[in-house]
Amino acid sequence: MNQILKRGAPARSGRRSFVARHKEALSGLAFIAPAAGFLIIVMGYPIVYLVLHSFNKENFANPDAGATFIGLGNYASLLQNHEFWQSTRTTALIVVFAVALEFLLGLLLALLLQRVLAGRRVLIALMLIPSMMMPIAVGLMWRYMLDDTYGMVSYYLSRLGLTGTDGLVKGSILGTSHSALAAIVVTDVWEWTPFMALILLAGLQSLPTDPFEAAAVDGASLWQEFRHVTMPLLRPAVTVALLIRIADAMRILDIVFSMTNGGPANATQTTQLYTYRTGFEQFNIGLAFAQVVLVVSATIVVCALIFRQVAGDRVAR
Amino acid sequence: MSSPTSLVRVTIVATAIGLIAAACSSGGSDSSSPSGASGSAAAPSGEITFLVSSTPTVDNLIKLIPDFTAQTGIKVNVANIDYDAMTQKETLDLRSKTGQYDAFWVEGTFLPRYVGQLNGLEPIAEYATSQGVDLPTSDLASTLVDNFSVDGTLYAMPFENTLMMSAVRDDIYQQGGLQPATTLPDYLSNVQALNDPPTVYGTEIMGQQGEPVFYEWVNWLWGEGGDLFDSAGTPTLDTPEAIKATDDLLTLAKSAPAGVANYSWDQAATSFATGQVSTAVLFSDQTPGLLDPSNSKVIGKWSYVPFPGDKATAFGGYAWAMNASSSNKPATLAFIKWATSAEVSKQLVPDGSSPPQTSVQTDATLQAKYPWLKAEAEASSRAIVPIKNTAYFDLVDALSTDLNAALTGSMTPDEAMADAQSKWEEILASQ
Amino acid sequence: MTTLVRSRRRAGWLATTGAFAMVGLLLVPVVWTLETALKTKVQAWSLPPHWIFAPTLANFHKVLFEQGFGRYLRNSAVVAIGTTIVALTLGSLAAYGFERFRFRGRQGVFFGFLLAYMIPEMAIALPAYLLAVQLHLLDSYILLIVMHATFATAFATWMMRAFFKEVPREIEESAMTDGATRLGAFLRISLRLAAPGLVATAVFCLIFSWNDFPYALVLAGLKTQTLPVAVGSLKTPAGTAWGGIMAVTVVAFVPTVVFAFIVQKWLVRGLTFGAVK
Repeated sequence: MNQILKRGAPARSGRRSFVARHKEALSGLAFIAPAAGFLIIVMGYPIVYLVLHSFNKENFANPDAGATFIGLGNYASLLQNHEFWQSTRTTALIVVFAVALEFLLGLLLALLLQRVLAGRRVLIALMLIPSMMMPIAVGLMWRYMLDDTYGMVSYYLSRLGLTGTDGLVKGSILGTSHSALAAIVVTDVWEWTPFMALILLAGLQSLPTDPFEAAAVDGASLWQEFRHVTMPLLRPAVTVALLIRIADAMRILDIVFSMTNGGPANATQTTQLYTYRTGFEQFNIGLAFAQVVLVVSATIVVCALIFRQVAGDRVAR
Repeated sequence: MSSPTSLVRVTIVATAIGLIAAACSSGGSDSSSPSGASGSAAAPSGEITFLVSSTPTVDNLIKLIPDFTAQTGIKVNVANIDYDAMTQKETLDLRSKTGQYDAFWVEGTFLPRYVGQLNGLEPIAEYATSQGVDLPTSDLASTLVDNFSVDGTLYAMPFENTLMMSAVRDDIYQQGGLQPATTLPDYLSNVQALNDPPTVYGTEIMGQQGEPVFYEWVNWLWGEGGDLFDSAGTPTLDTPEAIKATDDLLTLAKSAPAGVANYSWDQAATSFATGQVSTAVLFSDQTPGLLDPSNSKVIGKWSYVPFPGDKATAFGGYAWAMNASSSNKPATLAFIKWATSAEVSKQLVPDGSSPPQTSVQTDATLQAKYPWLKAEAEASSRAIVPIKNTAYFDLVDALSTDLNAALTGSMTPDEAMADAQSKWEEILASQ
Repeated sequence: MTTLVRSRRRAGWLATTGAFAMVGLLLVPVVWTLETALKTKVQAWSLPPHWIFAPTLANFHKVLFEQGFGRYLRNSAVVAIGTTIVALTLGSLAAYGFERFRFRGRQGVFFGFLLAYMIPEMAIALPAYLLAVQLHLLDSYILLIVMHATFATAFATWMMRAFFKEVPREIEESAMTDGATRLGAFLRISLRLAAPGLVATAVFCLIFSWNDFPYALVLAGLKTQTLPVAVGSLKTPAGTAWGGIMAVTVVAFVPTVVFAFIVQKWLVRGLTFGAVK
């Protein structure tokens, strides 16, 4: 991609107005301002509120007791809290496995869809259904399908001989920590793979045809074309898909709530669920907000690393 | 619009509309005929908002509301939402004192927060007296009144008397030549004896962490002679009785279907209703499901018996409370009085409600037709709210996680109770 | 060359089979949901699982007519459409700004947009509730649209930037040398060429708003109650109305599927950059 907009005339000519010198930046900011302004105005107060109150010990449902400023007290107690670390680990496990699977399967699906010879319209519309269903309903539906006695999945698993004490799935699916965690990952993957596939497909559809024609002329095989042409060009779409999904997955709540309520024994309690309990059941908002600050900070760090890694070198071009 | 004729026409039409509108609104406000209550200046009128969560009994009540509106002219806007959402909306509303909801659902466990912390409920009995309205609290068991009182002041009128009952399959017991147990050891041996997988299991338990396993377990705790707190308010979880109760849960689980570690009240009821188990401890608000042919395979084959022993059992009932910031208290009172009256209660019984009024519970005709009332009448007097503390959720979360851990084998009962004890001490200390 | 063409064609048939297989597998639970919506609870909770049975429309009837879910559908639709319009407008403008112009801190600000997407809605909802009470905005469409539009705009900005990246600057350049303004070039050329991205973004903005639970829970009231919170009401203390929930779910995703079907020709249409050459 060429550089087109050069930074105005050579600086040598001296007195050019502020506007002329910073024309590019100002034009850019003009485009960005509406969205940025909107976000700052709407989210400004809540974000400031939540950070400030994370330094308090206060109960939202007990306004008369007031708020006591305890500085980093909430943060300190969280970092020493076993349940908090457990929920962090659980969330990390879910995010890593789910997003990885969603990406791989989504990419596969997108590549297939791109080359489909017939019925693409129908396929795409139908494939999106899992992503369109209400998360709370998705959780309930999978809970029903995974019920050990009446669930469809359990039934067929047992018919295939995969359950029971010697089987792959020992004991209750949702009542055992490992399989419960796996079940949540499976549900999330089922729900969001179409989302990934759609973004990647749209990305594939937007790629310029020249490099592909060139590759065909050079006699590249399908795999070579994929590795050396498709994937590099798909980088922007991949970045978006991954980051959005990761940020989303770190907030997973509805599915866990409907399927296991965080059990068994907190094995599937994600940070979001833990925060929900702290902030919305116990209304201990100081602690809940501190959790939010910690988790969001971690998310920012993770996403920033990925962002710089994947998208960083594009910027340099 | 400039010609005089059209201007005249418009004025005539506008005046006509104005007159009609005035007539309609004034018609609405005095349509209610004055009742016996002479204390207040005018009969209650206007509009109120009623926040509930859906249950079969609530749904049936909502169907009856048009009768109430016809009698009194009071319009009732019903907000029928998700249970967890409802409790949060109540808290938010009471905290912001906006009075968005005039009447709403409360349980005994809510009172420490709604009254003690938020000070958002109107003491309903006192208010009624001040308005010259009679609330029939004498028709309620004293434990029931206590469940919804704080320091002796009543804050809500009971609507559904949800008790924890032992449900048994008469046909299976008969076949097995057994009688429903009256003691805990007999209960355990019955369950074991009737366990015949995969045709039918002995029992099911609500094992999911959170309120389900807590409510399942607390009855056993009391049955074994233990308690959650002593008279000084110190937790007593690290006791032989509590450990035995946890052991009992594990014993029950051996005669239960796989997956009970994740059963909440819904699965528990489904399990019994689909004929999967011979015995179950259910909340009595599950009765409608057991009577509904689209839901139940055991119609006519089950009955309620009191939970074995003569100790306390957990109370899970709900009542209607009045918002202290309500902008229409007279109408709200009228509605609450109507909704919790014996007359309305009698209309709800056929579909499986658990009436709070002693007169309805012990009514001979009703008992003959609806046999579950008999067992409920007995259980009603010993049903109490297990925890009345502002840290309710904290406490239940901590204990239930340990119970669930014991159930799934990651902790022994001793370890679980010791851990729960220390957690409870910590929670109470930080209050 | 012929072998290449042949292998490409073979790939085409393989791809078609593969795609149908994957989507088919994905749809099995959906079919199961549909069947459950047509069953009574007794039918649904029985062994072995019935794929063929006598269906009943009672669940649909109950939720749509007896429990008034039609109103919730309408509310959800209003909020979702409003959110999407706001998000697409603000988002594509911002994305274009990020992609075409360089200035210091660009990547930082761009990354900052993701913050709106990373902060859990519940945490924002509490202070938002307090503010809304002050401003008397509680239980209004505007409030919900504005709150939904925050994460939708962040998402839209991120998505659209990737698509604007693929629009060659040369086309815009030639338009501008022909006298078009930057904004004009943006509207008439860049947006059109990035149309597939716009469509994909719109679909997901709609879905996110449609399915949002936390903001609807805290900020909506009697008048603006949306579907997800209403669905929760079917999970009652006295038991879960499985059939009803599945029925609502089906009713909820049917419009979105139809919409996706209509617009996805924009997704599928290949772009021709022949104009550049």
